[in-house]
Amino acid sequence: MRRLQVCLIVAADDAGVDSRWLAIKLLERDPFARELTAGLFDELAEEECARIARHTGQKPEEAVMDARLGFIRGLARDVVQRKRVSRRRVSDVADRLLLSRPLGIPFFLGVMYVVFWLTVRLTQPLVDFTDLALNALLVNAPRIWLARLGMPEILGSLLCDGVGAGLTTVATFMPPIFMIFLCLSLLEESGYMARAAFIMDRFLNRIGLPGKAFIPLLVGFGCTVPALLATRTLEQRRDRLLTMLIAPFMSCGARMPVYAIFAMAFFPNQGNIVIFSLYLTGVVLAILSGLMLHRTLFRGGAASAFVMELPPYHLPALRGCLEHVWANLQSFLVRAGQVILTIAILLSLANALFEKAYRNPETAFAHRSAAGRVLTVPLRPMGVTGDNWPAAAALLTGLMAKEAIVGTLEVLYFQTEKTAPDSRKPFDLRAELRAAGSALFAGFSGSAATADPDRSADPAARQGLLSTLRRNFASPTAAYAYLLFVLIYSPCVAALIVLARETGWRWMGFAVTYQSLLAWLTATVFYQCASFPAAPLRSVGWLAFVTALTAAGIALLAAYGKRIAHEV
Amino acid sequence: MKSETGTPATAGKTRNLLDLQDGETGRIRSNRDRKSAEMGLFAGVRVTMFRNRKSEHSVVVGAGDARFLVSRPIAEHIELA
Repeated sequence: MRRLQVCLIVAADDAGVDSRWLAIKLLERDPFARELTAGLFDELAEEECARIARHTGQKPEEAVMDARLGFIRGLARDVVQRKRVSRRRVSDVADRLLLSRPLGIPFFLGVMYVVFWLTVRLTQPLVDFTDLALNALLVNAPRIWLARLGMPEILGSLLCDGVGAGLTTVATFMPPIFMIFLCLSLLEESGYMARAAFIMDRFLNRIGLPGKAFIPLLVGFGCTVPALLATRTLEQRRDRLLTMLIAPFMSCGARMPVYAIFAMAFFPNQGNIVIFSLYLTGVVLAILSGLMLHRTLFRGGAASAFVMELPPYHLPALRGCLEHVWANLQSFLVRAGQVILTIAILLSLANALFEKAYRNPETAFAHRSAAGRVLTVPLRPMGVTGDNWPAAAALLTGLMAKEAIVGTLEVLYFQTEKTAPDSRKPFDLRAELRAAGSALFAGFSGSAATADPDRSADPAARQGLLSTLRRNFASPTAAYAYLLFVLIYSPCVAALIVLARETGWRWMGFAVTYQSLLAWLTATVFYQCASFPAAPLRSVGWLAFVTALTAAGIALLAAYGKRIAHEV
Repeated sequence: MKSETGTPATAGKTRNLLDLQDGETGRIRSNRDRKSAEMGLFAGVRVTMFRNRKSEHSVVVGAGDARFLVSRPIAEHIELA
């Protein structure tokens, strides 16, 4: 190498770099170094490379890497002094248990269950309190005040049903989102996340993905957009495509408020189990979809290899975790807040203008309902009735952002049910706030009967979204089928744009079609099976149709997989 | 002749990371996988096998205080002295 270094002295001086560094980089066939020397020394460098390969039996770049790492190791050995026994021994013992086959998976599922228990149970009273208190402060009270001041109805509608209801919805997201980000951050900081990747490795390999694909899938529990971007760490295009197609099944944080509101409305005592089951359904569907796509569309591919460091277990630094949570929460609330507020304002404005155009609110309502009922037609096999058209409309705004579903439901249900307080009726803000406080206290003290707004004697507590949901969905089964659809159907526009940028428009179109169809199939199968005793003939008919559609879809994917085998 | 791990060395056959059983140690002779080498599994490093199950796609190896999850295809490329 010294010969090469001597020859490079002038060239290195001209380029303003060290001649030894330049010689090493040329031996590593570094394109930047070749550019610096204008290719003049390529022949000489190749001669030296051949000599090194003969002498060491290694490629020159490997020999250089070995020498560099050996030097670092020697240096570290000379200068690093250990004062105490490493934490490693404890971690190794813990790993022996937590990575073992009999304990690993139950422990992993247990950890995930605790996360969702904390997210739902612990935050439920706070969500109730925020909903009731802000509804009184930002929606009901301003409506009364504006009416007393003689302000135009359109202004009241815009400020109360748009801005007020939108802000209330955004605020109700905060407790569960904060908790889920905090739990994920604590798990990551504690070192358990990397172990979870090892546990998932067994399953992912069956669908032809490396264990490393678990990381983007895990990020998907926070938000689908960074999850899709995190697939860039996977080397093979096939791995990236498959991971991007199944990542949206990992239920993102934006879906959590929808689950939380529905769980509180329909399953007040088993909310955490219901939400946990939805997250688990997402994981199971991701594995099943991966398995099916691995055998049809991506036939013949094998999982690529990976290496990952397992950090030692340690107590997470709370300050670091909270900073991380705050950054995520802030970005989530700003993004979600913008979308929800915009949609709430647009919907309430459209409603006010619609009513003004027809001059008669009843006629306007009849026209709007008729248009909305058309949307429910494809959703009827999964339990969405014609009268519950706001639920269908909310799925459309959910395409813009999943957070918008709850906001849309709140605005549209209010418009259809006219649950606003009468402006002539005496309005007692203090009483409404007292009711919110009682709901909070009852929620934390475990008195579910008092915490349940529907059973409360206080009229203020009855106005919440929870009771409206219970009136509009025919049964808890229909509500759960709707949640299944929300879990599985197409991700939001932001995620779709990223998907198109990373894979192309054709794959994005496939993802939207596949996920929406799968959502409809899953929700329909669930609803028809659950309501089988009530209408056996109807259920058998729908289940036969779903089976035929699934078989046709798989055959189509297998046939298409043969055609594109060379592409992926 | 006995290897570092106490198991008899097979004449003429190069041993790789996958040949180590749980609890056995060895010294890396060469590693053709650049990423794992850069992460700390390079020539000269003494490694300990913590978990090697044929039914699992990856193995858990220790090098100094660090622990790594290494896929079997990569582990095959890491030759032991």
